[in-house]
Amino acid sequence: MFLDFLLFLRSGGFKVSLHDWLSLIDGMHRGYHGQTVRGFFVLCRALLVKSETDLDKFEELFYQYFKNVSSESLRRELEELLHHPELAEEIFNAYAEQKDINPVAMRQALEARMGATEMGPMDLSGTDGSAPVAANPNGSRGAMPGPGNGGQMQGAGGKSIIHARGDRKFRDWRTDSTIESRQFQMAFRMLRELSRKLNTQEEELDIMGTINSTCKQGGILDIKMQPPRRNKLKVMVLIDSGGSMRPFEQICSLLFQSLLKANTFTDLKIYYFHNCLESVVYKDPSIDTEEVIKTDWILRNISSDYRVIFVGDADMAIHELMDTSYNPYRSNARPDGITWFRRFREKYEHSIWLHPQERDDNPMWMPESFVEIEKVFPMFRLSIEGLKEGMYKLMRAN
Amino acid sequence: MSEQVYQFKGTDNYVIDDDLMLTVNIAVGMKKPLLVKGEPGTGKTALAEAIAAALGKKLIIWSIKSTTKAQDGLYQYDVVRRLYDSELGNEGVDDVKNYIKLGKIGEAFTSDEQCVLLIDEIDKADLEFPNDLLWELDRMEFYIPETDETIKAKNPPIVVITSNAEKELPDAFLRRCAFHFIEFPNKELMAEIIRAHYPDIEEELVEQVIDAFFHVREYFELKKKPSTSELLDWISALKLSGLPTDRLRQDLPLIGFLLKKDEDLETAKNSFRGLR
Repeated sequence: MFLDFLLFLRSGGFKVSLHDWLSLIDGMHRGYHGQTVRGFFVLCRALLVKSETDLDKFEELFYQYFKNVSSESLRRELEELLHHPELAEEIFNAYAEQKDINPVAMRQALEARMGATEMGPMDLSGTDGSAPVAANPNGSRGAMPGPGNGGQMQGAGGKSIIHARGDRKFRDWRTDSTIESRQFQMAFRMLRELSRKLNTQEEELDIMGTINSTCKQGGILDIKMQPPRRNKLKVMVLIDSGGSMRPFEQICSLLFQSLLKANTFTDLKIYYFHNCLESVVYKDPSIDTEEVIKTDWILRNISSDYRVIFVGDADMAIHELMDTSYNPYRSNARPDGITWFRRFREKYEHSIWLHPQERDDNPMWMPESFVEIEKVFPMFRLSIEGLKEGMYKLMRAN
Repeated sequence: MSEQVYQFKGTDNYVIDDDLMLTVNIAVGMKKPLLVKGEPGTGKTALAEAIAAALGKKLIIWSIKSTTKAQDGLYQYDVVRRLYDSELGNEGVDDVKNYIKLGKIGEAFTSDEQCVLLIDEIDKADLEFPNDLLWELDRMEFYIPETDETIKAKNPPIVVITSNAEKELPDAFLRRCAFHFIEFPNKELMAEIIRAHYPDIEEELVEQVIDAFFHVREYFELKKKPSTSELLDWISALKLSGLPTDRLRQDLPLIGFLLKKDEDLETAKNSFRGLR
């Protein structure tokens, strides 16, 4: 039943497991959809959708699939069948052969249900809707040319449920949109590697150990201590603070804030660079030339177990990235941008690049530098989903 | 069909939209835990209370904190107490059962009547927490190794789980639940909710309050938008204070009941300055 709809949902990127699907079929057998499109919609939503982030996708797909079904067209279809009993008989013959169904009783049940739809919105709200199902469970399956009679949704301005769904109220919850601080912090929580093997003098009471050894000593209190479990991860973040990043200032400061707030790391280092990585990086987002650190120094002194996150739009002039000869202030002995990036990549096995802008499917439309940098670092969009994937990547060896 | 379908229709105090009602009934009928999400203050917890009240069942609330472990809901073995008792030679030390204390899930499972079990704010706990409860909620039973007993639910409870979406719940857990996202009520539903809570409120005040409330929600740039529960508090405060309510939207008296964050109060104040 509705197997096409399942396949349609899955092909639309909405993950429905077989288990969910079987529960849906089970729910329909029990008549929870109440023979209305709206009931069917709610039933599907309750059983198939698992998160508010999927609601929008689901509503969109549901709308796509059922948008041509209106209560009017269904009623017309059914009325035609009522006026041409021989046609109906032909269609339902297979059912009639299989099961002992009394066509007269079926027809009565069908008429009763049609009457119920004509009553309008009321037939959806509770017990009434299920009555015909309970009265004649066989009939409910026999009379199923479509998903049921479309009802009107209350408070939707008289629009049928399917068309009201076209409004897509849950768009804001989609995970591929950009983020808030709390969600940032939650993503950073994934960067966790708890360990008791840290260089620290601190100790905390080992409750289970104390109880165990106390019991072994026959009840004489024997206190055991242990070093606390802490996150042993170290993180270095390099943020592009160049002019092309101006539109993304807000999201970068949000990222910065949440990094500090979620600071459960053993060490967190944040540096800034201007447009492209050069021989120095800055300690301050204002790119103050007083507060600089040599990029070389970082590579030599900061150990390779740091997780490194680059944040930037990766949109730079290609000569900045690839060739130094265009820049009169730099001698040719200095490495160009891409070389710096490659050196970072070589040293820090766990490194990713986060980019804030929308990404085009076609690489032709992205800046050339973006494509080049993508060859060096795994790139993720600065959205909830992208950040999570990025964190996931950081936790695993590449 | 022997079982009752569509049992729940809301209560006098809890106004419910049709979608949610249907979802609740689906979850109850199919014996799946109902996972409710939504903005804070949209009545997720109140839903469980309403279900319990409407179906005339006992409500058992297990509210989850960041330190809660799955085990706490099942049972606890008070080993320290037993140790002390054994040192002092108290009676009953030889029986482990005396030191097993059932948690909220255990309580719901052993209840003689079917009850409603509310697992409140499941996302507060550790990430692994929901996974640890999979088996117990699926099979409605758990095993106590200390006493070699299996506690099986006499009457499987109706399980309602609320979440504020602070943490993602694991897929395996979600698969077993029916899901509903409580939307923020629109003006009509909000009016109905207010009337349900304050039956003798004047119609004019309802309009005023809703007008002001949605104005605040929509036109101020707020960090934390006020929700239904804050609105209800605000109405109580307004009624108690006896302040004039004819210029609510302009004056916003007692706004501290609606806006809780310093920045938001600041935003509201600035907007007044701009108006005057």
